[in-house]
Amino acid sequence: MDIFNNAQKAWLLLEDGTVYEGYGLGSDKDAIGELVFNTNVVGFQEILTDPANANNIIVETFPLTGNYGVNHENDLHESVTARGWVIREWCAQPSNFRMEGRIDEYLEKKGISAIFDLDTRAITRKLRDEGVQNGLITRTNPADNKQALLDQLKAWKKPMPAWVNYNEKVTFEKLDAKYSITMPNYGIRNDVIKALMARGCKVTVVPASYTEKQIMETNPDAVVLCGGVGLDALATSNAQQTVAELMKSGVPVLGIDFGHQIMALAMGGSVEKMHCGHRGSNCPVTEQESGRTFITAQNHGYIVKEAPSNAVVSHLNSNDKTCEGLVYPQMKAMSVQFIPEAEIGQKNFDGIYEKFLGMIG
Amino acid sequence: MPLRQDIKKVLVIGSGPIIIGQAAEFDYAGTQACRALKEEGLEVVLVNSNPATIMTDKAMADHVYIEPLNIDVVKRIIEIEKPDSVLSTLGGQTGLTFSMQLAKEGFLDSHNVKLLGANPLTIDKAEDRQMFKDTMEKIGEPCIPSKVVNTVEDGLAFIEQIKYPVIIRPAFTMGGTGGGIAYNEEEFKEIAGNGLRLSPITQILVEKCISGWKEIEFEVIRDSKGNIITVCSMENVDPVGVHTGDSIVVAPAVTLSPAEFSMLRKAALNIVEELGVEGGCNCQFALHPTSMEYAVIEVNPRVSRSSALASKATGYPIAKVATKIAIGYTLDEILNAVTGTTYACFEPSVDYLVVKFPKWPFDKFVYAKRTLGTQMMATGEVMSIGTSFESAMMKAVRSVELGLDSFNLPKFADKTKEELLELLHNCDDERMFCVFEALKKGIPAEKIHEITMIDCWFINKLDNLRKMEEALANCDELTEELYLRAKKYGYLDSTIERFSGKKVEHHRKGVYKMVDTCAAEYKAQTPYFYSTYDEENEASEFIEEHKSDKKKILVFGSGPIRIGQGIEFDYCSVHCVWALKKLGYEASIANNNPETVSTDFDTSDRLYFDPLTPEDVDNVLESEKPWGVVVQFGGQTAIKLTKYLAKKGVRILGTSADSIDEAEDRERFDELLGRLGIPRPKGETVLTKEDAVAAANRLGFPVLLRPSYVLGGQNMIIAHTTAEVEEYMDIITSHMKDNLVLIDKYMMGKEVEVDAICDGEDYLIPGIMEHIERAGIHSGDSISVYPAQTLSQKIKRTIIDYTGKLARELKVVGLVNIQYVIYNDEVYVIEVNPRSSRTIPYISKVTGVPMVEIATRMMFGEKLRDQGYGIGLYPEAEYVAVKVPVFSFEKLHDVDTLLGPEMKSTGEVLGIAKTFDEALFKGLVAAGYKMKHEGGVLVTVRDTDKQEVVPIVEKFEKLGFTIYATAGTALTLHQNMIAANTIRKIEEEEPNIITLFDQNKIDYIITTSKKGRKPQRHSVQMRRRAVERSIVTMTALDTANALANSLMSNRTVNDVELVDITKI
Repeated sequence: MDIFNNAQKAWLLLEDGTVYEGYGLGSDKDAIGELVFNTNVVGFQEILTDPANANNIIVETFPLTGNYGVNHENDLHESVTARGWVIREWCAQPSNFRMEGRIDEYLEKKGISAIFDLDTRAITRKLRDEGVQNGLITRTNPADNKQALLDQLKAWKKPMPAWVNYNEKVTFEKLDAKYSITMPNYGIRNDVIKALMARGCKVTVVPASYTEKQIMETNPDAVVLCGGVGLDALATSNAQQTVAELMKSGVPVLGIDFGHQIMALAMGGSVEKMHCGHRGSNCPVTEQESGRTFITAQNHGYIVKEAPSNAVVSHLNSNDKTCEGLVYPQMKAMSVQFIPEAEIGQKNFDGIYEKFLGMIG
Repeated sequence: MPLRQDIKKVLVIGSGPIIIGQAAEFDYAGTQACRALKEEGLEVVLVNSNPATIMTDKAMADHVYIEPLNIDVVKRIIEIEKPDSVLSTLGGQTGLTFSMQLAKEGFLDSHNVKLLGANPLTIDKAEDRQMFKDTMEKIGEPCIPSKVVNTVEDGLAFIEQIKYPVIIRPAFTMGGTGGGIAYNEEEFKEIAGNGLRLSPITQILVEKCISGWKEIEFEVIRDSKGNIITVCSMENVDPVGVHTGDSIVVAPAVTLSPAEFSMLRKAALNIVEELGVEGGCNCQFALHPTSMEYAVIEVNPRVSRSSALASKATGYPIAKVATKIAIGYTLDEILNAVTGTTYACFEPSVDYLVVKFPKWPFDKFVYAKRTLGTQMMATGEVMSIGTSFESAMMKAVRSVELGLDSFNLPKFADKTKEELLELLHNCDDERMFCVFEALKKGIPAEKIHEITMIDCWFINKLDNLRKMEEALANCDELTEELYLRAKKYGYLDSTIERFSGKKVEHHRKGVYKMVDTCAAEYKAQTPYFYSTYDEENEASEFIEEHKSDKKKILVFGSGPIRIGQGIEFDYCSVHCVWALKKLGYEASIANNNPETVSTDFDTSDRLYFDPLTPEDVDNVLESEKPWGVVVQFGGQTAIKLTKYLAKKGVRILGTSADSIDEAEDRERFDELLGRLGIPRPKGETVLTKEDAVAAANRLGFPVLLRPSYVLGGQNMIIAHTTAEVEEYMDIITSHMKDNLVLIDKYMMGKEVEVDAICDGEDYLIPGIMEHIERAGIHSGDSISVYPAQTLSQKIKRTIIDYTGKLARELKVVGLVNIQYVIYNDEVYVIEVNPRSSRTIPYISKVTGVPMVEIATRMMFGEKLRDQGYGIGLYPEAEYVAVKVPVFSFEKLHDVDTLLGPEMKSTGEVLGIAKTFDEALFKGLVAAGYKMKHEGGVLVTVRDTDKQEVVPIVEKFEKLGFTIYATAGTALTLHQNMIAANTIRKIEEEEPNIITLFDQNKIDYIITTSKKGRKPQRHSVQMRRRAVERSIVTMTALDTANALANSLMSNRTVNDVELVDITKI
């Protein structure tokens, strides 16, 4: 009963007016975000720090969280976090030789507002049936001014994350680098940088506001687009135009997750918001050329609806047949909706990085 | 690739009788396989010697052979049926081994039979020690490092690389003699030196000791395209050192961070890819608790107990998918039957935690050594599903039927901290209870971890239960908040009341969540539920959404498989559900056994996977609101619920609660017999030791003692002396207080058993069975013959008459099982069980009378006369069926193999033939008797058996066997002109019996003794030594006689007719 000791009441309010009562954990500040569910059994820390979740409140479908504690190496981003976390139970006495601390301390440090002791399956089913919606985690009983809160929730739009206007250029050096990769900072997962470095790449991260010209001035062998800006926030940026110019310039371009979507838009395709997204590590994707199906990790709420006319669909989701990958035969460009396998030498996985680096020639 | 066009007719080899380590999970897998094949329109030929399974049902395959699983038999079946393929990976190790042998011999090729499911190279790579090691090395997967050495120095050099501790295993010593674990050089020198001396070839294996590492399993499926997925991860609560079948297991793994998780997942995928498995595969790993070091322990390229658990834990039907892959499909073509909208090529995601808890036979074998190790000892298991480890554990401890509702085990209650610190070192079936008590006595989790190496995560979670119990005990008021928290931790109201001393004012009902393979991501169609204490009830929603005007019937299953309550009750439960569906009802099942067909997601209309205690059952009733419930097919587990259900006013279909009580309550039953004028052996009911001795003396020895409400002869003995009565009463009163003990005059006559169906007026007896062994040996352990061979018409008429009277007087509606003893040409009733019995499956199969279906029809008022099977005694079948019990003695240390009134067998086989002799021969062969026609027979019997054994030994002598006997027995044999070599007993100086054993001179042993059970007794030790050497030991003269007769008939398996039971 440790986790209930001195725990304060907290509430989760949904845009449709549903209220769930639980206990607060982590930051005691109110948190508003888009409520999405994630079906991963392990990897809660990665989910909380995936830039793609920057504007989200995550509902964990697996009821036991924090079992193995936290470790800074697990973070996918140093500063970015999800806005909130909805769980059933957290572990007050985690056990793992690598752990550096407990999840409650971590949430507090990161300023993430969480709520526990909720029926997360019930909330998941609701989101599955009714689609994602905005939610609020609060320590103040929302019954008192519910209407005002609901108005606020409905009006809430995903803001542009701070890093988009971040003006620094950062280079991750690699001894005897074979390739130089430039990544516009749309919110980059550490694991993508690590995967590229492990394959002999030097990675330069540049501000999202960089134009094609500025990017090319970094002398990249290739450009990788990945991130968490999210399309809601995209309208105000010049990213689409930059990406179109990059692709046409002849530099090899790889799009991952959001990068896949923005490339499709740049080439005249369309994207669409999903009912409740693909968020988990068990998503089957079929590679069209080989007919092989791979299990992939995904975390997205939009899909490419219509592929651009100059693109060929390379991967499809095996379940709902949505577009999971595109190649642009006239260009040196390809993109996938899922997160490519980072580890080297795994023949049972997608081999996306290898294929892409092969394009550089 | 879709279904292969070159496959039309498939042979499926089953796993044979239930033994420890190869049990009901293969009926589940085999049944799924047969159904998957038939779904594709393929013709299915099945061979399996186990008659108690669903798999050997006529409906499961087009041709069913209940024949000995013997390579020659399988070959002959292939010649008769000419299948084009054989499916190898669904029948456990047995099925796999036969398939490989057939393939390697070239038999399959020469008969144009394709091997489906696995190729011999894959199997060799997984099963051959050296090839496995080489294969793992090739792909860089670490095995447990080991090296064969011949000197201490070489050993020390090797240890330089692998570090202490190490295990030393001397080559060619019996039972690991001379081995051990060394933690430092000094210890190593001593143990290794000793081991080298003891090894006849001066050789030891030095292996890195990894006991205490985490044990993690992955279930993997791969198809011919190379698509590969992991279905489920599992973590053993008991670390490496305890067989996974004896471990408490959780799914998914909980103490791994993504780094370790993905490392092991990838290793599993790598291994399965390299082996080229097409189908299911189990990978077991040991993971160092404080580093990323790991080792591959074992790989099983077939369905297994773990795959059954993984299937039930996730909803993903591994056996079915593996079968479809074997016949050509790929994962992306197979629809996920659970969601109906997604495909089998995905990894299930769970939103709950599953706990598997083993069921051990130690409550029955009180003298067995309970230490858990690398040899599995559990006979069965339960699974529980919860939203926390705490709740799943609490459900598990209730499901496993130990009479417990928490982790407080009375025997540890008054142990001191110091004693517990000592006891924690015992790695046995009660360790988890010991850990709990240790926490209660204030021993820190870290200390417990240090001793047991159980991960602190699990210990701390158990500690949460302790804290809850403390909070309940200290509460001034049972607040709603505290109560709800206790409910969410899995406590029953009655337990909460006991701990808190407060009344539960507002009872909270459980609700149900669905097991759907995808953590609610997709809307699923599977009606597979477990209880939680939340708001939404998905079972009710499901019922609402699938509204029908059919009446809803709830069937209670039989819980974990244990000696005395085995797979046959699952057979009955499943058949009841099928009958109910056929009759137009909606049938639900409540059960908690993950190994069985009854808990397959598509067996019933709704499945409730939960414990079977009254409160748990209440929740199901609330949610399901059944029109009626069925208790008579779920063994004692279901029958036990009858009184409670009746009191609640639930409609119990079939025989009433009152009738069940009348049959089980000693006094009422005696009254009933008196009314009917049916005799039974005299008996009394007692509570204390003193009363028992007095009663025994009044009745006259020998007497039969047993607790009232028994199961499988649990704790039942025959006592010949006052001392034995006293010993027995001491054990009973220490285990179960206030349990009445029944003492009966023991009549050593012929035992006869009858299963009957009754509609309240008429009755139908599909068959009368006769036991080879006289009364005194539990019916489950006796060789049973249908139809009875030696009964006079008069006796048969009496039995039919008594059966009819009893069934009618008890107002039986449905099944009833009655056991009789024929003594001095008189028929006595031993017991009446107004429920399904162990013999139902085989009698149904042999006679063709669908007993469970008819019994189910009776429950709804149909009349026997309208069923088309007549009334009274059903005409005898053309075939004789002999059921032979199968034991798992080699798996259980210190258990006496002497048969008695307490059941000891774990499974059974059936021999079917036109004549009794041939059926007996088949039965014996199927049960594993080698039927050797030469060699030595050792005879050592108690005084009362000495005369009777003479003609039996004479038969062995005539067959040409050399006879050995202990002094007393030899004397009698000599006096009867039988040449017997006198041999010293085990307790006497060598050369003695053991010397003969070691010289491989003994092939059969005939041994009876007045006293048994206690491992210290010499007769028990002798029998144990025989088990270790796999020498056939017969502890009843009747069994020995039957074997001698069968040997004299000089048959071989090539002479017998193979019977397709679908044609009889």
